[in-house]
Formats: sequence, structure tokens, C-alpha cells
Amino acid sequence: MHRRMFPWLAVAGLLVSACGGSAEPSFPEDSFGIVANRDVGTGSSRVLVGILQPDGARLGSPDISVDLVANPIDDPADTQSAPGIFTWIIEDVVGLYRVEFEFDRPGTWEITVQPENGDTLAPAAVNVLEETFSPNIGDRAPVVDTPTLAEFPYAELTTDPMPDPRFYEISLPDALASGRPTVLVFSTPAYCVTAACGPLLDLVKSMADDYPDTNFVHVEVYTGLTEPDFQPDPAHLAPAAGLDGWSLPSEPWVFVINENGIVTARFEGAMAADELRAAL
Amino acid sequence: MQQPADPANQLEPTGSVEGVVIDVEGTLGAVSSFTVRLSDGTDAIFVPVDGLLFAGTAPIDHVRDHMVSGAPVSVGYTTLADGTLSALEVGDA
Repeated sequence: MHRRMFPWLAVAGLLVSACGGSAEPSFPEDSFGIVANRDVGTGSSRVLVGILQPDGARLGSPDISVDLVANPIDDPADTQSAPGIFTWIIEDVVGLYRVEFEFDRPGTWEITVQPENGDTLAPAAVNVLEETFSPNIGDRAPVVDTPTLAEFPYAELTTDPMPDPRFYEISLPDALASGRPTVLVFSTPAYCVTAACGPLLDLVKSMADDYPDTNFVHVEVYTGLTEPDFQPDPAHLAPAAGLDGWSLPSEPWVFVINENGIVTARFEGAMAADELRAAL
Repeated sequence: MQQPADPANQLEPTGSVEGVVIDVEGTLGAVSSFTVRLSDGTDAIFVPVDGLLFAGTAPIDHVRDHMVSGAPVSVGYTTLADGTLSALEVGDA
């Protein structure tokens, strides 16, 4: 069987530092970090880091403090560090550490987890893009038509089993022209049913009542949901999610767009309520 | 409309592994490869066969969700002549 070791694994031992004194290590020896989001661009960019063991045991909690350190893979001395903010994906079950880094150049960067106690974990790699796939902060929101309840029944609009009508009452073009901020959610609840995707739309739905003057638009990632031969495949990708729309490299996503049609926040994969509140 | 290929009708897995997804390459609806870290700490890169669905029902993009959640996956694969690990089945471990 062909297996490839990432180069950074080979040098992991060189990066280990003792920093815990006699305290119990924060994480077991075989734990490692992964970067859980992919559409990371130059400039200020949000990075999600998961910590796990080879058997899939997910580690980390609000009680375990970590610093996250970033450096270009070809310039280990050019580091920046920030505390990781723990974010539950499912409360008390699984979560990630999030951080904002200022990436001053594209290319491969290493993200290293330094726990409060115990050894530094082997670095994970992230490819920082010159241009992100989906619209970045400061970009004008692409105006792409999205279906609404005025034209289609819920069954063709969403796979959410408990849809909130507010999320399907206004199309994206009308929302962007309304002079009000817009929260745009791309997700497919029925075809992405584990930890990350299902709860994200539910979280946004739970917060919508707090923002009566904001548009909320949910776009199902797939279209043709009621076709007999429907498959969640590229042929059924919703136009708004594809290359002629928001060019999503993954899902789910939440974008916040201001009253002038400019993207002011973007969240890939997972998001905490406080992040959306801060963006609104 | 062209139907997705059914990998089960084309190749049979010659091996299977379980592990955690640590990387996914490709775009939405078109995963070009994904990397699974195995229990011994080594990494295996799989190229999904055309039309592969996660557990036979969900889009292959679902492996990204496993990368975020850490939930292990199982992969049935065959090794092609050039050494590529071709994923024929993928699902929850």
C-alpha cells in the first residue's frame, strides 16, 4: 500500500518543546492538529484547528488553553502567535480552536498548536491562497439569483426538515438591493448530517429573531431535490454555489454582507454565535 | 442526463482502512483526493473513483465534514498500476 508521510511529520520532533513543568499534559502524546478549513487567503484570515488522536478521538475544550503559531513553511523564524478560541461545533461533544492570522504571503504555512501544558504538537499545513475561491472580506457579493417560496415549495428549496420561512422569502439579489445587511447561509442539511453542517443552519436560525432588520437567506447547495434521479453530485450543484456564483470550495458557509453589498465576514465549516453577533 | 458511475460495478476493493480525514483537495462536488491518517500515524492519499458517494448516499464532499468533526471514516480501495489508491467505497468507520 502506498502511503505518504507529510514532510512536516519528519521534522516534528525538532519542533517539540517542553513547556509544561510538572503539570499534566493538555493532550496525549499521539495527538495532532489539523486545519479544518481550506479557503484561506492572504491578509487577515480565519483558521480552524482541530486536535485529535489517530483513533478519531476529538480533543480540546474551553478549559484547555492553547496558543496557535503560524509560519511560512520555508521561513520557520517568521512566526506569529495568538490564543486559540475554542468553539463548540456540538456543545460538549466536539469543537475546534479558531484564530485570525495575518498571512502576508501565499503558499504553504505551518500551524502549530502549543498547549498550556505539555509538548507542542506536530504542525499542520495550510495552503494560503493569493485569491480565495469564494468571495473574501471586502469583496462585492456576487449577485446570483436564488429561489424563494414565492416560486417553489419547501421541498424544492431546502433539505432542512424544519425550515424557517424567513430564510426563503427574499432572493439574494433582492436582499442585496434592500439596503439592509444580509446573512447568507450555504448548506445542505440532509446531505451533510454530522457534526459541522447540520448545526450551522440551526444556529443561524436560532439567532435570526434577534436581528429583525437583517435579511436571512439560506441556499441549498444542491438543486433538483425532487427529481426522481436526484443525486447530490456536481450535476446538481446549485448555480449560486458554483463557479458562476459564489465558487464555494466546500460547504457549509455563512457570509455576512453589509447594506452596500460588501462581504464583511465569512465563516467556513463552523461558526460560533458570538462570531456572527460580532459581524452583525 | 449522464448518470454517475457506479464504482461497485467497475472495480472491487482489494483493501480497506479506517482513520481520520486530515486533508481534502478539490472543489465543491468534485473532491480530487482526500488524505486519511491511519492508526499507526501514517497518511494515505485516496483518489475517489468517479461518481463515488459517501456511504452510497451523501456527496463525497461529506469527507470534509469528517475532517471538521474528526469522526473516523472507512475506505475500501484498490491500488492502481501507478500506485494510486483509488477509493471505491467510503463511509463512517
